[in-house]
Amino acid sequence: MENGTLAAMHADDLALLQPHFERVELKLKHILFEADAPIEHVHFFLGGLSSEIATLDGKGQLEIGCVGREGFSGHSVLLGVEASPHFAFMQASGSALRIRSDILLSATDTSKRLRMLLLRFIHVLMVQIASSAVSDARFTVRQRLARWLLMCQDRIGDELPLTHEFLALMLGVRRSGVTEMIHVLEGENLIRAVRALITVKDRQGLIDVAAGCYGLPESEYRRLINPNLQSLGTTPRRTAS
Amino acid sequence: MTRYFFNIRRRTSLCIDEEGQEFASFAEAYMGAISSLCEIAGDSLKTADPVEVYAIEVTDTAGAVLHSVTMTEAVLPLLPEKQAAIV
Repeated sequence: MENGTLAAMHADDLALLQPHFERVELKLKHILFEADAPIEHVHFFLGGLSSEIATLDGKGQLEIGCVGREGFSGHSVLLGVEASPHFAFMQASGSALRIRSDILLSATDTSKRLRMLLLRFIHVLMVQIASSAVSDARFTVRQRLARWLLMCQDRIGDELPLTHEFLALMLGVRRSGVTEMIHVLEGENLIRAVRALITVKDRQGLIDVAAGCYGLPESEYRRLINPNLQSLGTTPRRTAS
Repeated sequence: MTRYFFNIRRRTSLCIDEEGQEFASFAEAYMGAISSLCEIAGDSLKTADPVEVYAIEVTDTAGAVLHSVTMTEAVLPLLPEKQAAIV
């Protein structure tokens, strides 16, 4: 298990952080930070999947970004902000190395190289958020569902323990829209769906369905952070059906 | 709260809702089905694709169909022909 951003880090920078890392196991639905509350720790994930959620005026919630073993949560800290109106939680359990926010921030004062690496990841995250916005405005539920399943597969593998209710929150649609499109993708033999467990059967097929709404943040990640992190949008894999 | 299931009738297939969703009353579940149908139609119309879903069957936990809410029922009242005349 490794974290793609830590793997890309210069050894001297990693040595600055290493003594302060604490390994934690993050359960499903674990809250990484609450809205408008101080972000105490930044988590570098070794597995699992975290979601950052935006809410507007208490109405409607929408996922705006997801991060797994390629990066870290709590990026607002590195932008000099203590608390965010967003909140983040684990949508699939996994372990992480966490570090106190103030310690990470002062390490970025010590090493410009470290700061630049972490800021490049924030750029990738911003590209992902923009890509979600474009997808929501211009792409259909079928295309966006394919994109989102690919993003999950990149981070947690072929078996995705996700309910339709949860997927509806992620995509910002009503549950029936998800029920229908899961059924359609299953009919096209791209996934297998048993109650609350979706298995990716044909990755390339999903990439084709996504019709361009998947892949840009992933290629930015490979260009700017780590070209080697296995499976983050790299080799199309077909799994045995 | 009562759990209702929204099975989706498409032109060529039926999608069974295995999860269901809780509503305070059947009336609220009915409105939920109407809103879902409108959203599904909107998603297809966004790209000028044919609307494949023609009904949501609202069922109880035993699987009995309480009401089949049709796409026409959801969408037709929203079309301009059905609104009060505009001069």
